[in-house]
Amino acid sequence: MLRINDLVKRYGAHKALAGASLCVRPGEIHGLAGLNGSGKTTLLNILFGAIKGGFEGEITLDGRPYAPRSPKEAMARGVGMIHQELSLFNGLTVAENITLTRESGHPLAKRLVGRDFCLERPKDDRARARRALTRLGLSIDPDVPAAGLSLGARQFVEIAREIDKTDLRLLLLDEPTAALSEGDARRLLEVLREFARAGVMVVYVSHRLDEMAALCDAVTALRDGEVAARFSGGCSPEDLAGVMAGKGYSRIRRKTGFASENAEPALEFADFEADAPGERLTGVNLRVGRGEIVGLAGLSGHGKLALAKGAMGLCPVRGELRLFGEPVPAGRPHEMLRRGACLLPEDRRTMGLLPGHSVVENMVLPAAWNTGRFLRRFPGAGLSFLRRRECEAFAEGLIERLGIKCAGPRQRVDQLSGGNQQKVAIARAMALSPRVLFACEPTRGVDIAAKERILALLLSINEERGTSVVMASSELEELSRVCDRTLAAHQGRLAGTLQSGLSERDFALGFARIIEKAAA
Amino acid sequence: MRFDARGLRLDAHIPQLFIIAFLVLLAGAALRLDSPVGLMLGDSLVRLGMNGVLALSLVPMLNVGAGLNFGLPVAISAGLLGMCLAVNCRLRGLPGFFAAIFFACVAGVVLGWLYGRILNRVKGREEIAAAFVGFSFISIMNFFWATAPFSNPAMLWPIGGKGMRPAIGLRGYFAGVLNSLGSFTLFGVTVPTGLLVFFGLLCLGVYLFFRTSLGRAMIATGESEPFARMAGIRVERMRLLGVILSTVIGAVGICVYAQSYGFIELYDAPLMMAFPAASAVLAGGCLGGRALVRHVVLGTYLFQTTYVLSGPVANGLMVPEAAEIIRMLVSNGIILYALIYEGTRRRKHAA
Amino acid sequence: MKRFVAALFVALMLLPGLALASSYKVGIVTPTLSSSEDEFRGAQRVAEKYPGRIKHISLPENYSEEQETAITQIMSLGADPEVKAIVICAGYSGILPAIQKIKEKRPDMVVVTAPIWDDPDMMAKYVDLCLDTDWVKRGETIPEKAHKMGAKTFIHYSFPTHMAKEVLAKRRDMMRETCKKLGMEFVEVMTPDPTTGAGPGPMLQFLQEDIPRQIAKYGKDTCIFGTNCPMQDVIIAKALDLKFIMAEQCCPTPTQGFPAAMGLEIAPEDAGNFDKINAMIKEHAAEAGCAGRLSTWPTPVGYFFPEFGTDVAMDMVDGKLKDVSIESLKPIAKKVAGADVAFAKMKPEIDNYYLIIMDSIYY
Repeated sequence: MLRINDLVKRYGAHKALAGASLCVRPGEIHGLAGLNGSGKTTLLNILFGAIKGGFEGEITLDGRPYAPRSPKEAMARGVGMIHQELSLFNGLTVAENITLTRESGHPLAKRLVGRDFCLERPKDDRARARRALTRLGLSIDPDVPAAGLSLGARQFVEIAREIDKTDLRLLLLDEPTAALSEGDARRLLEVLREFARAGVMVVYVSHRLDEMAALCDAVTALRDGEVAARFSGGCSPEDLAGVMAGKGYSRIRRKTGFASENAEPALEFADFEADAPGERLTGVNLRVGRGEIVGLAGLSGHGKLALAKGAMGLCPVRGELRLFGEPVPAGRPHEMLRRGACLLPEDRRTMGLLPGHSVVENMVLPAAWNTGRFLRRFPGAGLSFLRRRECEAFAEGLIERLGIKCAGPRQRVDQLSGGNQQKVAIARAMALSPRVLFACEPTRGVDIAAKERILALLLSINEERGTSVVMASSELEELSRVCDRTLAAHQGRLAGTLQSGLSERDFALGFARIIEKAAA
Repeated sequence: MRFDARGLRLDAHIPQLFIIAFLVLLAGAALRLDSPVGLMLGDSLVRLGMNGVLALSLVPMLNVGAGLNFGLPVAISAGLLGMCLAVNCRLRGLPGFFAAIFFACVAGVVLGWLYGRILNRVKGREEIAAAFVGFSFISIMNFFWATAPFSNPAMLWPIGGKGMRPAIGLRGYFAGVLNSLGSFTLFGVTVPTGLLVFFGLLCLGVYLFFRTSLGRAMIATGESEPFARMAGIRVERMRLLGVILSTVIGAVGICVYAQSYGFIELYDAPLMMAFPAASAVLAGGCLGGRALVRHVVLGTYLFQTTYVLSGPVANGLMVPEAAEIIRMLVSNGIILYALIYEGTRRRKHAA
Repeated sequence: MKRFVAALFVALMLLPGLALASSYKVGIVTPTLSSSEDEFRGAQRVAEKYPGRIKHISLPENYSEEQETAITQIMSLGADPEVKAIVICAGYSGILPAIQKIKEKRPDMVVVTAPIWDDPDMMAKYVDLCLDTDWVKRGETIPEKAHKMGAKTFIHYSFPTHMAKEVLAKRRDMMRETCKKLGMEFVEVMTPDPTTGAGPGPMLQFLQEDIPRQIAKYGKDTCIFGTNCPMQDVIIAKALDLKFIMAEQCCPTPTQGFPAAMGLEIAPEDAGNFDKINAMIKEHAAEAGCAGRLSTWPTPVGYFFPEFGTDVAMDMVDGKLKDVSIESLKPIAKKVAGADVAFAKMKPEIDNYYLIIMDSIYY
């Protein structure tokens, strides 16, 4: 039994948590809902001992007071956590990652010199890792290094690490399905239910409300560090969305018939093949019309993200690609940018942003470099200075338009929350005024309000400037709403097309049918 | 109002404040020992100018993500070559000095290009690779100096008459041309105006360069290569450019150093020169990531002034043998302290 | 590769045959050019003086790591029947075993060391004549000379690793005593240590700054002595500016410090011509207003020893020199050096180990 009473966590004058209380019974899956910055992650970090500087309030775990000062202490009490940021060691194999710090030792050696110094038995470790992976329904070889895995597979390995713990009492999950496709997510949820049946308490944070509604026995919705509502028994995604957003919000939908693939082509792929790490897509023959929004659906690792990377020249490719009728040389991102193509990468922490730079610099630098926008022209383009006022005006305009929560254009971008960072990344793309935009997982890890804003933004970029958008996403629901047509990627090939205008249910069914057919 | 996401915060400079406090202590001791503080203050200004450019030369490589340039000997060799050419043509005074800088820059571009190509192949381990490139390059240069066909007898071995001397006197060429240019004495402190103005101009140049779009692209490359690549910045090119820039500034730096010191030192002399420069930048508050001109100026001044003051004070206060030990302890200890402090602060910040 | 080795082998076999035409040979052993110019060039000069009669070999650059190679090299000289005398000017320790082996096989081989640094008693037993500079005695001669040049203060610049060496510390103590005797003030200053951390740079920069301070304090009738070779460039350059006294460098020779500090333009044909070099230094000193303030030995010892050693060895082989003594060595030394050379016994009971001090030249 986990009991939290009146929990307060201050950062200076700001209260990240302002008196939150909740209670989780053994075998219960407890959802935590809330917008970005509502205090969910802070709460989890306190429970995992990953927060410095103490907190106020009272926590008891299984009847005993619980105030972990480090993750080690937390783990000693049987608490495990799966993080939003992936934390695998790239140099170690899958098995080593799963059993790290809990490696099997020779029984005799263990008795003689103690756990820390005894010989290891990698064979046992591999067996344990395989067992944990099998429970997740995964067929990853435990001997491959973690470095080569796709994002989704990495998430599963991380989950397998927690599953492998035998004394688990409380499992904390922070957006575990954010990096997963829907099929993978379903599999994970199955495993969580199994855990709960075995008496483990699960605290589950997600932005996917339908998932939460289906999975959780009880849900607590946080708003600004306080409990906004509690649901026990069933609740609908709409209930949750309403409570979280605080006021009514509307769901964006693409106007149908806006553009078609028969328009003049913006992108033409012929026998195109892209080999991105962990994702591979082959045999692409595709025309994207000007002003068209094309969706790419698919399970993680099946290739939906590879197309954008390959087209932008960020990974090895084969075959032909034409941009506005002209062939593009492979492996030259700057060439693509200068011709008006732009990428919104799915991995914003390493690729999408310069964490040490300010909001405004993140927004304007690529545009200044590639198009000369914002530059005070000087002989020798490289030596031009930025037009500071123009940059700031641009940044302020977008901060307001996108609703970016920040102290101002000069705040460092790594101090912003995930959703706001994603908005900054979109603003960066907008500064480039792209004619073709590749968006990879544009709404991953952001809350529902931010998600609608981002989708609205993509639509408005498209509608205002006639920008063609290629959008890869794991969420069928959003693809069905904004794309003119959606291609389903399966096992590295484009397996079929879903037209727009279907209801969300039919869309999902259509997708499942395509995948089944491709697998058969 | 600053445009970039940074600013001068006092709490971010505790190690520097600590060094300053230590310097004040030393200065107090020097006063009590009746040391000529005026002379020492003048010396500290000279040291700022003569070492500052070398420290400044680390900035482009740091900013482009190629780490501390422990391969500074490459840049220094370019500068030495430039000066030797100028002396060989018997160019004297300021024209001689600027001719030396011109030759040094040309050599710097060539060597920097080669050096940059090497560093681009060892991405991620630049610092250690750079150190080895620097060390092995010195061996190559030793061979070159011993056989180079220079003809001015003022530079050749006095007995054999072939090959370069280990130290070439610049007296009568361009020793002290910058130091004495417009220098004046105020309250017993001789201010090396020309030297400081030259250093200041270089600092301004570097500062402005990193505000241009090219400079910003280099900084972006240093901070996140995936981002830079995605933003259409040609990463390898930027790194190469950063290394060339570092090498050229380093080559100019050794010219400035040599004119102040009065000798061109060949052979193994550049071997260890990267370390004081690196220490200065670290002591100035630059730890990983972006280096600012402020770090260079502050760090060089503080680091070199501890040397200026600690020598005489230690000699005056203690048994002379202990002086050296204390000095090593203090000057290295300060840097260690600065590193530890900064490291702890970062960890706290990250948590 | 194989063919090359074979060719080399044949060439080596032929060499003694070719050489038989002339009379016997003298082997000279020195360090490489880059480790020590004086000895190397000195040996080259002897080779010019006695064409075809000198076999000059240089020891490995990193002697301390390749001592085995060095010993093999010296033994190969001993194995050559043509070589009747060996002069070793190396300034290293650990060479004696090679000499022992040679002497066991060929007791008639004349061996002169100038210098090597092994156990003196053992050396005296195996080596025919051991020569070295009188390092400790210089603790007396230098302050005396400075006093004669008008010094009232004597400043000794050194650093801990040097002062941990017995000979250098002894010389410093002797200097202090001599100064006391002569009524001069002795000042000891420690510089940053060039053997630790950042190399000689900080030490030299410290000297640059400290010398003006000391001269401001003690006035220009001060003699400055530094124990480390690189210091001499700075000391002499500063002496030209500040007009203080530089009585002798650590290694007394016109070719140390002076060429760099004065920017001497020594034409290739004059290189090694010490009369000419000394005249040049004199001219520069007068120009800078330092006449009579600078002094050193007229010839570097390292340059002097190979020639002196060879001449002595040849006399011994030829039977002209029956037994070595101060009286018999002095005239030979004067002929080679062009200046008086003082000899002293290393130990009273040993009569084939001599330490030398040369007469000075004043600029």
